Amino acid sequence: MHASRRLILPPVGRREFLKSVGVAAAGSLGLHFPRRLLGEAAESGPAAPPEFLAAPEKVELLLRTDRPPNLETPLKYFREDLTPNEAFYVRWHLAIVPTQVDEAAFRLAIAGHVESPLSLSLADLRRQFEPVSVVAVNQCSGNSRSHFQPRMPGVQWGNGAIGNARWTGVRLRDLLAKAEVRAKAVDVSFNGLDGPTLPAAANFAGTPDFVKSLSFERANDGEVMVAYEMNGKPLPMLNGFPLRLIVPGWYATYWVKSLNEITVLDKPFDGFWISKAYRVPNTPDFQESPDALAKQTVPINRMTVRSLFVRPEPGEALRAGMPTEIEGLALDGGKGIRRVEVSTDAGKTWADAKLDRDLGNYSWRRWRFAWRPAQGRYTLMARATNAAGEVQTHSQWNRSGYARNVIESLAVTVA
Amino acid sequence: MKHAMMIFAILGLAVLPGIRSGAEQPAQVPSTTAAVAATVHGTVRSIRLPELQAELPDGPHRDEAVVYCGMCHTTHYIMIQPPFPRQTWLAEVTKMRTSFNGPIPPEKVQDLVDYLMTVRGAPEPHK
Repeated sequence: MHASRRLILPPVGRREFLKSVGVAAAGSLGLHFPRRLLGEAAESGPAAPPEFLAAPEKVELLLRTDRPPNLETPLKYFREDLTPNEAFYVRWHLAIVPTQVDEAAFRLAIAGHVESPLSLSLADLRRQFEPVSVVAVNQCSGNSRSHFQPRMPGVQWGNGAIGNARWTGVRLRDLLAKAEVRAKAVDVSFNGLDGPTLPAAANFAGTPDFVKSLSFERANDGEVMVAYEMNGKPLPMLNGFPLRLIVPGWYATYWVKSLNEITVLDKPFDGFWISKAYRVPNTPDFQESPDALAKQTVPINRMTVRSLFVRPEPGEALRAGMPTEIEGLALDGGKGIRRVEVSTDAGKTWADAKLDRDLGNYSWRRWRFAWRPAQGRYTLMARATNAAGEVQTHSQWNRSGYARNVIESLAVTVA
Repeated sequence: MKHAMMIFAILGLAVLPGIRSGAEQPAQVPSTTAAVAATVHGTVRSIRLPELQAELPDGPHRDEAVVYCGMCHTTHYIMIQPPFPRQTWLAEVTKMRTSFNGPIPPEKVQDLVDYLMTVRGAPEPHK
Protein backbone atom coordinates (compact mmCIF):
# COMPACT_ATOMS: atom_id res chain seq x y z
CA MET A 1 0.00 0.00 0.00
CA HIS A 2 1.20 3.53 -0.68
CA ALA A 3 1.86 6.19 1.89
CA SER A 4 -0.67 8.49 0.28
CA ARG A 5 -3.49 6.17 1.36
CA ARG A 6 -4.11 7.54 4.78
CA LEU A 7 -6.28 6.32 7.56
CA ILE A 8 -9.84 7.41 7.02
CA LEU A 9 -10.26 8.92 10.46
CA PRO A 10 -7.37 9.21 12.91
CA PRO A 11 -7.97 6.70 15.72
CA VAL A 12 -7.08 9.13 18.49
CA GLY A 13 -9.63 11.66 17.42
CA ARG A 14 -12.24 9.11 16.41
CA ARG A 15 -14.18 8.86 19.65
CA GLU A 16 -14.43 12.60 20.09
CA PHE A 17 -15.43 13.09 16.49
CA LEU A 18 -18.02 10.35 16.64
CA LYS A 19 -19.50 11.64 19.88
CA SER A 20 -19.93 15.07 18.38
CA VAL A 21 -21.59 13.58 15.33
CA GLY A 22 -23.84 11.44 17.47
CA VAL A 23 -25.11 14.37 19.49
CA ALA A 24 -25.68 16.39 16.34
CA ALA A 25 -27.63 13.61 14.73
CA ALA A 26 -31.07 15.04 15.34
CA GLY A 27 -31.05 16.88 12.03
CA SER A 28 -29.11 16.98 8.83
CA LEU A 29 -25.42 16.90 9.49
CA GLY A 30 -24.30 19.18 6.68
CA LEU A 31 -20.78 17.90 7.13
CA HIS A 32 -17.94 18.69 4.81
CA PHE A 33 -14.89 16.52 4.93
CA PRO A 34 -11.51 17.51 3.65
CA ARG A 35 -10.34 15.19 0.92
CA ARG A 36 -7.24 14.30 2.93
CA LEU A 37 -9.40 12.61 5.56
CA LEU A 38 -11.23 10.51 3.02
CA GLY A 39 -8.28 8.79 1.42
CA GLU A 40 -7.59 7.86 -2.14
CA ALA A 41 -9.99 5.58 -3.95
CA ALA A 42 -8.95 1.94 -4.22
CA GLU A 43 -9.31 -0.10 -7.37
CA SER A 44 -12.80 -1.48 -7.88
CA GLY A 45 -13.34 -5.07 -8.80
CA PRO A 46 -14.57 -8.36 -7.40
CA ALA A 47 -14.15 -9.01 -3.67
CA ALA A 48 -10.52 -9.77 -2.81
CA PRO A 49 -9.59 -13.30 -1.69
CA PRO A 50 -9.56 -13.79 2.09
CA GLU A 51 -6.91 -11.89 3.90
CA PHE A 52 -5.33 -13.15 7.10
CA LEU A 53 -5.08 -11.05 10.23
CA ALA A 54 -3.01 -11.85 13.33
CA ALA A 55 -4.90 -10.06 16.10
CA PRO A 56 -3.59 -9.85 19.67
CA GLU A 57 -3.41 -13.28 21.36
CA LYS A 58 -4.36 -14.91 18.06
CA VAL A 59 -2.66 -16.73 15.25
CA GLU A 60 -3.47 -15.66 11.71
CA LEU A 61 -7.21 -15.94 11.21
CA LEU A 62 -9.32 -15.28 8.16
CA LEU A 63 -10.27 -11.61 8.17
CA ARG A 64 -13.95 -10.87 7.70
CA THR A 65 -13.98 -7.44 9.37
CA ASP A 66 -11.61 -5.59 11.68
CA ARG A 67 -13.84 -2.93 13.21
CA PRO A 68 -15.40 -4.61 15.04
CA PRO A 69 -13.26 -7.72 14.68
CA ASN A 70 -14.85 -10.74 13.02
CA LEU A 71 -12.18 -13.35 12.41
CA GLU A 72 -12.69 -16.90 11.19
CA THR A 73 -10.70 -20.05 12.05
CA PRO A 74 -8.93 -21.82 9.18
CA LEU A 75 -10.15 -25.43 8.84
CA LYS A 76 -6.76 -26.91 9.69
CA TYR A 77 -7.31 -26.06 13.37
CA PHE A 78 -10.33 -28.37 13.48
CA ARG A 79 -8.18 -31.50 13.35
CA GLU A 80 -8.01 -31.50 17.16
CA ASP A 81 -10.80 -32.18 19.63
CA LEU A 82 -10.26 -28.84 21.36
CA THR A 83 -9.72 -25.69 19.33
CA PRO A 84 -6.62 -23.82 20.58
CA ASN A 85 -7.47 -20.51 22.24
CA GLU A 86 -5.13 -18.73 19.82
CA ALA A 87 -7.07 -20.10 16.86
CA PHE A 88 -10.59 -19.71 18.23
CA TYR A 89 -12.77 -17.55 16.01
CA VAL A 90 -13.66 -13.99 17.00
CA ARG A 91 -17.01 -12.29 16.60
CA TRP A 92 -18.17 -8.92 17.91
CA HIS A 93 -21.26 -6.95 16.95
CA LEU A 94 -20.31 -3.49 18.13
CA ALA A 95 -17.12 -1.59 17.50
CA ILE A 96 -16.33 -0.57 21.10
CA VAL A 97 -14.72 -3.87 22.06
CA PRO A 98 -13.14 -4.20 25.52
CA THR A 99 -9.39 -3.98 25.21
CA GLN A 100 -8.40 -3.44 28.81
CA VAL A 101 -9.56 -5.18 31.97
CA ASP A 102 -8.28 -4.77 35.51
CA GLU A 103 -8.67 -8.25 36.97
CA ALA A 104 -8.60 -6.94 40.51
CA ALA A 105 -11.20 -4.22 39.97
CA PHE A 106 -13.54 -6.21 37.72
CA ARG A 107 -16.95 -7.05 39.19
CA LEU A 108 -19.78 -9.25 38.00
CA ALA A 109 -23.07 -7.67 39.08
CA ILE A 110 -26.16 -9.80 39.70
CA ALA A 111 -29.18 -7.63 40.30
CA GLY A 112 -32.84 -7.04 39.50
CA HIS A 113 -35.61 -9.28 40.80
CA VAL A 114 -33.44 -10.68 43.61
CA GLU A 115 -33.31 -10.37 47.38
CA SER A 116 -29.52 -10.10 47.60
CA PRO A 117 -27.86 -8.27 44.72
CA LEU A 118 -24.25 -9.38 44.30
CA SER A 119 -21.06 -7.72 43.16
CA LEU A 120 -18.52 -10.52 42.72
CA SER A 121 -14.85 -10.23 41.97
CA LEU A 122 -13.05 -12.86 39.94
CA ALA A 123 -11.49 -14.12 43.18
CA ASP A 124 -14.97 -14.38 44.71
CA LEU A 125 -16.13 -16.51 41.79
CA ARG A 126 -13.20 -18.87 42.19
CA ARG A 127 -13.42 -19.10 45.99
CA GLN A 128 -17.12 -18.98 46.78
CA PHE A 129 -18.59 -21.25 44.12
CA GLU A 130 -17.98 -24.82 43.06
CA PRO A 131 -16.03 -24.93 39.80
CA VAL A 132 -17.53 -26.95 36.99
CA SER A 133 -16.31 -27.78 33.51
CA VAL A 134 -18.01 -28.74 30.27
CA VAL A 135 -16.69 -29.40 26.80
CA ALA A 136 -19.05 -27.51 24.56
CA VAL A 137 -19.02 -26.43 20.95
CA ASN A 138 -19.57 -22.74 20.28
CA GLN A 139 -21.00 -22.04 16.83
CA CYS A 140 -21.93 -18.64 15.51
CA SER A 141 -25.58 -18.37 14.46
CA GLY A 142 -24.36 -17.14 11.09
CA ASN A 143 -21.65 -19.76 10.58
CA SER A 144 -21.48 -20.75 6.91
CA ARG A 145 -23.75 -17.87 5.84
CA SER A 146 -21.77 -17.34 2.64
CA HIS A 147 -22.81 -20.81 1.42
CA PHE A 148 -26.55 -20.13 1.33
CA GLN A 149 -28.18 -19.62 -2.06
CA PRO A 150 -29.62 -17.14 -2.61
CA ARG A 151 -27.17 -15.09 -0.55
CA MET A 152 -28.07 -12.56 2.12
CA PRO A 153 -26.26 -9.60 3.71
CA GLY A 154 -24.27 -10.09 6.90
CA VAL A 155 -20.85 -11.26 7.94
CA GLN A 156 -19.90 -13.60 5.09
CA TRP A 157 -18.61 -16.50 7.15
CA GLY A 158 -17.30 -19.71 5.64
CA ASN A 159 -17.48 -22.80 7.88
CA GLY A 160 -14.97 -21.57 10.45
CA ALA A 161 -17.09 -19.52 12.86
CA ILE A 162 -17.10 -22.44 15.26
CA GLY A 163 -14.85 -23.93 17.93
CA ASN A 164 -14.82 -26.58 20.63
CA ALA A 165 -13.40 -25.95 24.09
CA ARG A 166 -13.42 -27.05 27.68
CA TRP A 167 -15.08 -24.24 29.61
CA THR A 168 -14.48 -23.92 33.35
CA GLY A 169 -16.38 -21.65 35.69
CA VAL A 170 -19.45 -21.61 37.89
CA ARG A 171 -23.04 -22.64 37.34
CA LEU A 172 -25.32 -19.69 36.74
CA ARG A 173 -27.80 -21.50 38.95
CA ASP A 174 -25.39 -21.25 41.89
CA LEU A 175 -24.97 -17.52 41.33
CA LEU A 176 -28.73 -17.02 41.13
CA ALA A 177 -29.22 -19.06 44.30
CA LYS A 178 -26.80 -16.84 46.19
CA ALA A 179 -28.63 -13.76 44.90
CA GLU A 180 -31.90 -15.25 46.18
CA VAL A 181 -34.12 -14.79 43.18
CA ARG A 182 -37.60 -13.59 44.08
CA ALA A 183 -40.74 -15.47 43.07
CA LYS A 184 -42.11 -15.15 39.55
CA ALA A 185 -38.83 -14.44 37.79
CA VAL A 186 -39.45 -14.54 34.04
CA ASP A 187 -36.23 -13.74 32.16
CA VAL A 188 -32.56 -13.09 32.88
CA SER A 189 -30.62 -10.59 30.79
CA PHE A 190 -26.87 -10.60 30.17
CA ASN A 191 -24.70 -7.62 29.31
CA GLY A 192 -20.99 -7.36 28.63
CA LEU A 193 -18.37 -4.66 28.49
CA ASP A 194 -18.71 -4.05 24.74
CA GLY A 195 -20.79 -1.19 23.42
CA PRO A 196 -21.76 0.67 20.28
CA THR A 197 -19.78 3.43 18.63
CA LEU A 198 -22.85 5.63 19.01
CA PRO A 199 -24.43 4.95 22.37
CA ALA A 200 -27.55 6.73 23.60
CA ALA A 201 -27.03 10.38 24.45
CA ALA A 202 -29.19 13.46 24.96
CA ASN A 203 -31.69 13.69 22.07
CA PHE A 204 -30.24 10.55 20.50
CA ALA A 205 -31.57 7.03 20.87
CA GLY A 206 -28.26 5.38 20.05
CA THR A 207 -27.40 1.99 18.67
CA PRO A 208 -28.84 -0.76 20.90
CA ASP A 209 -26.23 -2.22 23.24
CA PHE A 210 -25.63 -5.96 22.82
CA VAL A 211 -27.71 -7.53 25.57
CA LYS A 212 -29.18 -11.06 25.36
CA SER A 213 -31.60 -12.90 27.58
CA LEU A 214 -32.69 -16.40 28.51
CA SER A 215 -35.86 -17.53 30.18
CA PHE A 216 -35.37 -17.93 33.92
CA GLU A 217 -36.04 -21.64 33.47
CA ARG A 218 -33.15 -22.01 31.00
CA ALA A 219 -30.84 -19.72 32.96
CA ASN A 220 -31.46 -21.76 36.12
CA ASP A 221 -31.19 -25.23 34.59
CA GLY A 222 -27.75 -25.98 35.99
CA GLU A 223 -26.10 -26.25 32.59
CA VAL A 224 -25.72 -22.57 31.78
CA MET A 225 -22.36 -21.41 33.16
CA VAL A 226 -20.26 -18.34 33.67
CA ALA A 227 -16.80 -19.36 32.47
CA TYR A 228 -13.48 -17.88 33.58
CA GLU A 229 -11.33 -20.39 31.78
CA MET A 230 -11.17 -21.74 28.26
CA ASN A 231 -9.11 -24.90 27.73
CA GLY A 232 -7.56 -24.39 31.16
CA LYS A 233 -6.38 -20.83 30.49
CA PRO A 234 -7.86 -17.35 30.90
CA LEU A 235 -10.06 -16.39 27.98
CA PRO A 236 -8.38 -14.41 25.23
CA MET A 237 -9.50 -10.77 25.36
CA LEU A 238 -11.12 -11.21 21.96
CA ASN A 239 -13.14 -14.21 23.20
CA GLY A 240 -14.51 -12.35 26.22
CA PHE A 241 -11.88 -12.07 28.97
CA PRO A 242 -12.45 -12.28 31.91
CA LEU A 243 -15.88 -13.99 31.86
CA ARG A 244 -18.33 -15.23 29.31
CA LEU A 245 -21.68 -16.97 29.47
CA ILE A 246 -21.74 -20.60 28.31
CA VAL A 247 -25.10 -21.86 27.01
CA PRO A 248 -24.36 -25.46 26.01
CA GLY A 249 -26.19 -26.65 22.93
CA TRP A 250 -27.41 -23.18 21.89
CA TYR A 251 -25.99 -20.92 19.22
CA ALA A 252 -23.18 -18.63 20.29
CA THR A 253 -25.20 -15.40 20.21
CA TYR A 254 -26.21 -16.21 23.79
CA TRP A 255 -22.67 -16.79 24.98
CA VAL A 256 -22.24 -13.15 26.02
CA LYS A 257 -18.61 -12.10 26.19
CA SER A 258 -16.94 -9.87 28.78
CA LEU A 259 -20.02 -10.61 30.89
CA ASN A 260 -20.38 -8.13 33.74
CA GLU A 261 -24.11 -7.68 34.35
CA ILE A 262 -26.72 -10.35 35.04
CA THR A 263 -30.19 -8.96 35.65
CA VAL A 264 -33.15 -11.05 36.75
CA LEU A 265 -36.45 -9.73 35.40
CA ASP A 266 -40.07 -10.22 36.39
CA LYS A 267 -41.25 -9.60 32.85
CA PRO A 268 -40.08 -10.67 29.39
CA PHE A 269 -36.94 -8.96 28.11
CA ASP A 270 -37.57 -7.16 24.83
CA GLY A 271 -34.16 -5.78 23.94
CA PHE A 272 -33.35 -5.34 20.25
CA TRP A 273 -30.87 -8.20 20.05
CA ILE A 274 -33.45 -10.79 21.07
CA SER A 275 -36.75 -9.32 19.93
CA LYS A 276 -35.68 -7.99 16.50
CA ALA A 277 -32.30 -9.53 15.70
CA TYR A 278 -31.43 -13.23 15.68
CA ARG A 279 -34.93 -14.32 14.71
CA VAL A 280 -35.49 -17.56 12.83
CA PRO A 281 -38.58 -19.12 11.25
CA ASN A 282 -40.72 -20.98 13.74
CA THR A 283 -40.33 -24.17 11.68
CA PRO A 284 -38.22 -27.35 11.88
CA ASP A 285 -34.59 -26.67 10.95
CA PHE A 286 -35.49 -22.96 10.94
CA GLN A 287 -36.43 -23.36 7.29
CA GLU A 288 -38.27 -21.00 4.94
CA SER A 289 -37.97 -20.04 1.28
CA PRO A 290 -37.50 -16.64 -0.36
CA ASP A 291 -40.94 -16.87 -1.99
CA ALA A 292 -42.65 -18.15 1.15
CA LEU A 293 -41.16 -16.44 4.19
CA ALA A 294 -42.32 -17.76 7.54
CA LYS A 295 -45.09 -15.73 9.13
CA GLN A 296 -43.79 -16.33 12.63
CA THR A 297 -40.27 -16.00 13.91
CA VAL A 298 -38.72 -16.92 17.24
CA PRO A 299 -35.36 -16.14 18.82
CA ILE A 300 -32.74 -18.57 17.55
CA ASN A 301 -32.08 -21.23 20.14
CA ARG A 302 -30.85 -24.84 20.16
CA MET A 303 -28.36 -25.93 17.50
CA THR A 304 -29.59 -28.28 14.81
CA VAL A 305 -27.68 -31.40 13.83
CA ARG A 306 -24.94 -30.82 11.27
CA SER A 307 -21.60 -32.08 10.03
CA LEU A 308 -18.70 -30.27 8.37
CA PHE A 309 -15.72 -31.40 6.30
CA VAL A 310 -12.32 -30.59 7.72
CA ARG A 311 -10.16 -32.59 5.28
CA PRO A 312 -9.60 -32.53 2.43
CA GLU A 313 -9.73 -28.75 2.34
CA PRO A 314 -11.25 -27.05 -0.70
CA GLY A 315 -8.58 -27.01 -3.38
CA GLU A 316 -6.36 -29.53 -1.60
CA ALA A 317 -4.49 -31.75 -4.05
CA LEU A 318 -5.06 -35.51 -3.64
CA ARG A 319 -3.03 -38.24 -5.34
CA ALA A 320 -4.68 -41.17 -7.08
CA GLY A 321 -4.16 -44.51 -5.38
CA MET A 322 -2.91 -42.95 -2.13
CA PRO A 323 -4.87 -43.75 1.03
CA THR A 324 -6.38 -40.59 2.37
CA GLU A 325 -8.54 -39.89 5.35
CA ILE A 326 -11.62 -37.75 4.97
CA GLU A 327 -12.03 -35.92 8.29
CA GLY A 328 -14.81 -33.86 9.73
CA LEU A 329 -16.84 -32.91 12.72
CA ALA A 330 -20.47 -33.29 13.71
CA LEU A 331 -22.59 -31.58 16.33
CA ASP A 332 -26.12 -30.98 17.50
CA GLY A 333 -27.92 -29.20 20.33
CA GLY A 334 -26.93 -31.63 23.06
CA LYS A 335 -28.47 -35.03 22.40
CA GLY A 336 -25.27 -36.46 20.99
CA ILE A 337 -24.22 -37.77 17.59
CA ARG A 338 -25.32 -41.31 16.72
CA ARG A 339 -23.71 -41.66 13.29
CA VAL A 340 -22.08 -39.80 10.45
CA GLU A 341 -22.37 -41.19 6.94
CA VAL A 342 -20.13 -40.22 4.06
CA SER A 343 -20.72 -40.43 0.34
CA THR A 344 -17.98 -40.14 -2.26
CA ASP A 345 -20.39 -40.32 -5.21
CA ALA A 346 -22.58 -37.24 -4.72
CA GLY A 347 -25.07 -39.00 -2.47
CA LYS A 348 -25.78 -42.17 -4.45
CA THR A 349 -24.23 -44.45 -1.83
CA TRP A 350 -23.36 -43.85 1.82
CA ALA A 351 -21.16 -45.59 4.37
CA ASP A 352 -20.52 -44.96 8.04
CA ALA A 353 -17.61 -42.84 9.15
CA LYS A 354 -15.66 -43.80 12.25
CA LEU A 355 -16.49 -41.51 15.17
CA ASP A 356 -13.69 -40.20 17.35
CA ARG A 357 -13.91 -40.20 21.14
CA ASP A 358 -17.01 -38.89 22.82
CA LEU A 359 -16.31 -35.80 24.92
CA GLY A 360 -19.92 -35.37 26.02
CA ASN A 361 -23.14 -34.41 24.33
CA TYR A 362 -22.33 -30.71 24.12
CA SER A 363 -18.94 -31.27 22.50
CA TRP A 364 -18.63 -31.70 18.79
CA ARG A 365 -17.77 -35.22 17.65
CA ARG A 366 -14.95 -35.63 15.19
CA TRP A 367 -15.08 -38.36 12.57
CA ARG A 368 -12.90 -39.93 9.88
CA PHE A 369 -13.44 -42.01 6.74
CA ALA A 370 -10.76 -43.99 4.96
CA TRP A 371 -10.67 -43.48 1.20
CA ARG A 372 -8.35 -44.56 -1.57
CA PRO A 373 -9.62 -42.82 -4.67
CA ALA A 374 -8.72 -43.45 -8.29
CA GLN A 375 -8.04 -40.48 -10.52
CA GLY A 376 -11.08 -38.35 -11.18
CA ARG A 377 -13.49 -35.76 -9.82
CA TYR A 378 -15.69 -36.56 -6.87
CA THR A 379 -18.42 -34.91 -4.85
CA LEU A 380 -18.11 -35.82 -1.19
CA MET A 381 -21.05 -35.51 1.16
CA ALA A 382 -21.45 -36.01 4.90
CA ARG A 383 -24.70 -36.62 6.76
CA ALA A 384 -25.00 -36.65 10.57
CA THR A 385 -27.77 -38.21 12.64
CA ASN A 386 -28.16 -37.42 16.33
CA ALA A 387 -29.29 -39.67 19.16
CA ALA A 388 -32.91 -38.54 18.67
CA GLY A 389 -32.83 -39.67 15.05
CA GLU A 390 -32.72 -36.11 13.69
CA VAL A 391 -30.79 -36.02 10.44
CA GLN A 392 -29.50 -33.30 8.14
CA THR A 393 -31.51 -32.38 5.05
CA HIS A 394 -30.47 -31.58 1.49
CA SER A 395 -32.06 -28.16 1.33
CA GLN A 396 -32.26 -25.39 3.87
CA TRP A 397 -32.52 -21.60 3.83
CA ASN A 398 -33.73 -18.65 5.88
CA ARG A 399 -33.68 -14.94 5.20
CA SER A 400 -30.96 -14.01 7.70
CA GLY A 401 -28.58 -16.88 6.94
CA TYR A 402 -28.74 -18.50 10.37
CA ALA A 403 -28.39 -22.07 11.62
CA ARG A 404 -27.04 -23.55 8.41
CA ASN A 405 -27.11 -27.34 8.71
CA VAL A 406 -27.68 -28.60 5.19
CA ILE A 407 -25.74 -31.68 4.02
CA GLU A 408 -22.36 -30.41 2.83
CA SER A 409 -20.98 -31.11 -0.63
CA LEU A 410 -17.26 -30.96 -1.24
CA ALA A 411 -15.86 -31.11 -4.77
CA VAL A 412 -12.55 -32.98 -4.89
CA THR A 413 -10.12 -33.56 -7.74
CA VAL A 414 -7.81 -36.58 -7.51
CA ALA A 415 -4.87 -36.34 -9.89
CA MET B 1 6.24 -15.76 -2.37
CA LYS B 2 5.40 -15.14 1.23
CA HIS B 3 3.89 -11.81 2.09
CA ALA B 4 4.59 -10.28 5.47
CA MET B 5 2.29 -11.45 8.25
CA MET B 6 0.32 -8.67 9.82
CA ILE B 7 1.80 -7.76 13.21
CA PHE B 8 0.45 -5.07 15.49
CA ALA B 9 2.95 -3.58 17.89
CA ILE B 10 1.92 -2.69 21.40
CA LEU B 11 2.54 0.98 20.68
CA GLY B 12 -0.21 0.85 18.11
CA LEU B 13 1.82 1.34 15.01
CA ALA B 14 -0.21 -0.35 12.33
CA VAL B 15 1.87 -2.33 9.87
CA LEU B 16 0.39 -2.66 6.42
CA PRO B 17 -1.52 -5.90 5.97
CA GLY B 18 -0.04 -8.76 3.99
CA ILE B 19 -2.56 -10.30 1.67
CA ARG B 20 -2.26 -14.06 1.52
CA SER B 21 -4.27 -16.51 -0.47
CA GLY B 22 -6.36 -19.04 1.43
CA ALA B 23 -5.63 -21.98 -0.88
CA GLU B 24 -2.44 -23.29 0.67
CA GLN B 25 -1.33 -26.80 1.47
CA PRO B 26 -2.48 -27.43 5.04
CA ALA B 27 0.39 -27.72 7.48
CA GLN B 28 0.71 -30.94 9.43
CA VAL B 29 0.80 -29.20 12.82
CA PRO B 30 -0.56 -25.69 12.51
CA SER B 31 1.16 -23.08 14.62
CA THR B 32 -0.61 -21.96 17.77
CA THR B 33 1.84 -19.25 18.67
CA ALA B 34 0.14 -15.88 18.71
CA ALA B 35 2.09 -13.11 17.03
CA VAL B 36 1.22 -10.53 19.67
CA ALA B 37 0.53 -11.23 23.33
CA ALA B 38 -1.67 -9.25 25.66
CA THR B 39 0.14 -6.73 27.83
CA VAL B 40 -0.07 -7.26 31.55
CA HIS B 41 0.84 -4.47 33.99
CA GLY B 42 0.04 -5.55 37.52
CA THR B 43 -3.58 -6.69 37.39
CA VAL B 44 -4.41 -4.83 34.19
CA ARG B 45 -4.52 -6.89 31.02
CA SER B 46 -4.78 -5.06 27.71
CA ILE B 47 -4.56 -5.49 23.99
CA ARG B 48 -4.24 -3.05 21.12
CA LEU B 49 -6.87 -3.73 18.50
CA PRO B 50 -5.72 -3.54 14.90
CA GLU B 51 -7.50 -1.12 12.60
CA LEU B 52 -7.00 -1.49 8.92
CA GLN B 53 -7.08 1.09 6.19
CA ALA B 54 -10.43 0.22 4.68
CA GLU B 55 -10.60 1.72 1.23
CA LEU B 56 -13.69 1.97 -0.83
CA PRO B 57 -13.54 1.97 -4.62
CA ASP B 58 -14.34 5.15 -6.47
CA GLY B 59 -17.93 5.88 -7.37
CA PRO B 60 -20.70 8.47 -7.00
CA HIS B 61 -21.25 9.40 -3.35
CA ARG B 62 -18.21 7.44 -2.20
CA ASP B 63 -17.40 10.19 0.31
CA GLU B 64 -20.83 9.87 1.91
CA ALA B 65 -20.35 6.11 2.23
CA VAL B 66 -16.97 6.64 3.90
CA VAL B 67 -18.51 9.01 6.42
CA TYR B 68 -21.94 7.58 7.12
CA CYS B 69 -20.96 3.91 6.96
CA GLY B 70 -17.45 4.25 8.34
CA MET B 71 -18.66 6.24 11.30
CA CYS B 72 -19.72 3.10 13.21
CA HIS B 73 -17.84 0.23 11.59
CA THR B 74 -15.33 -0.63 8.93
CA THR B 75 -16.52 -0.01 5.38
CA HIS B 76 -15.00 -3.41 4.67
CA TYR B 77 -18.48 -4.69 5.60
CA ILE B 78 -19.57 -3.42 2.19
CA MET B 79 -16.78 -5.04 0.23
CA ILE B 80 -17.23 -8.51 1.76
CA GLN B 81 -20.83 -8.69 0.52
CA PRO B 82 -21.78 -10.34 -2.76
CA PRO B 83 -23.75 -8.24 -5.26
CA PHE B 84 -27.31 -7.47 -4.14
CA PRO B 85 -30.27 -5.84 -5.89
CA ARG B 86 -31.33 -2.32 -5.03
CA GLN B 87 -34.19 -3.40 -2.75
CA THR B 88 -31.75 -5.35 -0.58
CA TRP B 89 -29.32 -2.44 -0.27
CA LEU B 90 -32.17 -0.06 0.51
CA ALA B 91 -33.29 -2.43 3.28
CA GLU B 92 -29.76 -2.51 4.69
CA VAL B 93 -29.36 1.27 4.74
CA THR B 94 -32.82 1.58 6.28
CA LYS B 95 -31.85 -0.94 8.95
CA MET B 96 -28.78 1.13 9.78
CA ARG B 97 -30.98 4.22 10.16
CA THR B 98 -33.95 2.75 11.99
CA SER B 99 -32.66 -0.26 13.94
CA PHE B 100 -29.20 1.00 14.76
CA ASN B 101 -30.04 4.73 14.73
CA GLY B 102 -27.19 5.58 12.39
CA PRO B 103 -27.38 9.34 11.87
CA ILE B 104 -28.06 9.16 8.14
CA PRO B 105 -30.22 12.03 6.92
CA PRO B 106 -33.21 10.82 4.88
CA GLU B 107 -32.02 12.78 1.84
CA LYS B 108 -28.76 10.81 1.85
CA VAL B 109 -30.35 7.37 1.73
CA GLN B 110 -30.66 7.12 -2.07
CA ASP B 111 -27.14 8.50 -2.51
CA LEU B 112 -25.79 5.74 -0.30
CA VAL B 113 -27.84 3.11 -2.11
CA ASP B 114 -26.55 4.47 -5.42
CA TYR B 115 -23.00 3.98 -4.21
CA LEU B 116 -23.68 0.48 -2.93
CA MET B 117 -25.23 -0.43 -6.27
CA THR B 118 -22.14 0.90 -8.04
CA VAL B 119 -19.74 -1.29 -6.07
CA ARG B 120 -21.93 -4.24 -5.10
CA GLY B 121 -25.07 -4.01 -7.22
CA ALA B 122 -26.96 -6.86 -8.87
CA PRO B 123 -29.97 -6.76 -11.18
CA GLU B 124 -33.40 -7.22 -9.62
CA PRO B 125 -34.20 -10.93 -9.36
CA HIS B 126 -36.60 -12.19 -12.01
CA LYS B 127 -39.61 -14.19 -10.81
